[in-house]
Amino acid sequence: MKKSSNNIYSCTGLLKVFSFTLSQTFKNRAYRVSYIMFIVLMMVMGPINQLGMNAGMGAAQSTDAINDEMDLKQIYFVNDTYLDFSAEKAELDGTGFAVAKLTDADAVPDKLAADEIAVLLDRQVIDEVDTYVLNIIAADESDITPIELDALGGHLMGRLEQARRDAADLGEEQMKVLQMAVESGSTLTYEDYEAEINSAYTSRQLSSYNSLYSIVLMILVALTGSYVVSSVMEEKMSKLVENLLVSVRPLALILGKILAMMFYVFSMIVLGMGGSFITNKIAESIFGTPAVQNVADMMNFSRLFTFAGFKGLLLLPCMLLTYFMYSMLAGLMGSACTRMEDAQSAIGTVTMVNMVGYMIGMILPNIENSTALLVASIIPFVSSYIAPVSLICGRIPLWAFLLGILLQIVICIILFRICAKTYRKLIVNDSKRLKLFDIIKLSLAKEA
Amino acid sequence: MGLEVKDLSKKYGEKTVVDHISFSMEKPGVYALLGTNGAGKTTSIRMILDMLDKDTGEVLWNGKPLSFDTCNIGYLAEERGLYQKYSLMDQIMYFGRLRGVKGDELKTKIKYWSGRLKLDEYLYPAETKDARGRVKKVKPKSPDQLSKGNQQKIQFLIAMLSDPELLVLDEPFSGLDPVNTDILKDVVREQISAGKYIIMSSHQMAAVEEFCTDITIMCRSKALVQGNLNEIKKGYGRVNLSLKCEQDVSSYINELGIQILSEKENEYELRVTGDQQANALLWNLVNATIPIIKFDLSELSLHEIFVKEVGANEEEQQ
Repeated sequence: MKKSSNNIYSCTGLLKVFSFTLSQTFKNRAYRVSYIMFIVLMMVMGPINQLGMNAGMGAAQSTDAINDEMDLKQIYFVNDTYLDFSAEKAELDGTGFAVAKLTDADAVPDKLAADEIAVLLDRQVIDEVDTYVLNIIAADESDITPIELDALGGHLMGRLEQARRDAADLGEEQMKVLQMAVESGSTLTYEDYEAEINSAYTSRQLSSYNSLYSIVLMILVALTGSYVVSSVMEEKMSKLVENLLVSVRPLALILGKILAMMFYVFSMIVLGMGGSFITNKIAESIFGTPAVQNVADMMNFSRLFTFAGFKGLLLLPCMLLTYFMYSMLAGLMGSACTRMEDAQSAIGTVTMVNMVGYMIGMILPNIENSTALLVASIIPFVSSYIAPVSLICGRIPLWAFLLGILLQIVICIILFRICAKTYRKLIVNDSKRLKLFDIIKLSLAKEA
Repeated sequence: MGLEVKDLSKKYGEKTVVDHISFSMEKPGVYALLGTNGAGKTTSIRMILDMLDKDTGEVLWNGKPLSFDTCNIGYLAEERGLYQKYSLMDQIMYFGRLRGVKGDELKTKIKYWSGRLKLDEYLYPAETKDARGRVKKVKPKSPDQLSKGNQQKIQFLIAMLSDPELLVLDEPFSGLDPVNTDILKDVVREQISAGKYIIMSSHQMAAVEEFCTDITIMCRSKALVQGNLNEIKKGYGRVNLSLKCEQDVSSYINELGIQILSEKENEYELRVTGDQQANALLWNLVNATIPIIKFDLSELSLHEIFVKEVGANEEEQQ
């Protein structure tokens, strides 16, 4: 038995394959359109979210939206509750609404004039919770804008709060005590408790940042997986592979293609995040600080690398390592395909592994169990979604993080070697697709 | 030195697809690798070019293991194909760069070969005039608009870009029309004159016979007949006799027990046992003063050798 005379790990020609694949990807109109659309989407998601919130809540909380005095003929107050909420208590002075008449009524009039409004306070059970419902109703042909109605609603909500305090015979401070939000943590051990109080980040922040990191990583891997599989299959599909193999080694060929697709997707995400940072800043300068910061932050991808200052930079190499590992897996699966119909199964395998990691990454920080977090931070494919943010938030020790990284590097090397062997062995194979187990068996078989 | 293929074998599971094949090319020329479908020709070529792992054997080029690092190889694969989505020029440039041809040299070579192979219209934009007489540039065709023959010519162009020392042509003439076959044959002749080593695999025996000096006929993964084509032909003797007379000479032919292969208006294709039998027939015809128009005694053609040997082997196997 003779071994192949050439080094199968030689990467001569890799750069040429990389640059050709990348240039052709950008020359392709479909790829170009998806690239631009994805970036634009990431850029506008934050501002649109902010715009929506400001239009609703921002206006509702202040009457600043009313620039000119709003003349109304009459406002009807219909109160179906026991609270003392009546026309008398409306106190519209200084709100921008000049109302000729405030009237208490038993029901909303059948027909409202253009300059009339009805305010209806009701009590309903919503989602099994007893709830006060305040509705502001204007006529169909009314000139009053939704923002003006929201502004009036915001003012009346304040009056309703006052009515509730009066009914309960409570002062503003006492009411605050009752209404203040409570953050609960199901701390199981003293260790977890200590980690929580010693950390600069709350468990809610850990969960929030980890979710954002996981979303970005999941998108990155999911997009690249399909691109890599189809790109790797391209040579087989076009029946060009034999012509290429007299000029370039299989590993250089597959690696060049994988790296090109990685670059394509990664640059898309980086540009999207950079754009998101800029558009969010612009939106903030226009609309002011978002009314509900947490919700706005969900769409602000740039904060992923800014939340922890210098430490946040750690996320980048971690992301790249994970990205490379999953891309090699996609390349390996693609190398075992010969027909287009095989591609779906190959992509499915990568997606499945990716989704397992992603789901654990999304769920585990909410469970707040330090042992589970520690174990997950070490297991390859899962650790990628957990360890980096957990380390920054002080939830796992450095050694666990480093061990997780080390194992990922080992997996990358193993995948790299299997990829080199199987791609070489299967490159001129045109029989049915091999499954993951067959590929591993093939790579473990002695070199002929 | 040249090319030395030693003891190549390949098995897929229990099935042997190439069984201890050896041959060598000590000097430039054309070596033909012939065989029935599934005989193992393409697998042998893939092993020679180090695309497939060999179970046994080695391939040396000037004493060193053959690879694209040690030898400038041009290869026309049996499977024709091109990237369907990319422009032809882009992919030709890519292949050229991979073979180490760069910049202006690459452009010059593409221009030269596109002219030789009559591919200009597919690679360069054409200028046409519209109804108002304005000159317009028309984009060249995309790969998916090319016929199979033209795709094959593009692949041949790619194989020639690096001016290869060793040219491997797997079924080079299949799928080409007579005009394009002649174009390709001209290039092959030119390469032979330039002292290139060429391995050719084909089912078209006449085309191969025109060029090759040495052959291996493969059947069921084994080398059935191997060696210098002239020597092989000599071994079978001069047994093909083509005869044309002015009258019916069947009685003279039958008298000597000569096998008639075909007969048409006093024109005969005969199989003789050798020079002696042919001379005896000629003597008899001359003595009988029968006017002879054509008397051509020749060796077996490559096609006949192939059919004879492969047929015999198939019978033996059954």
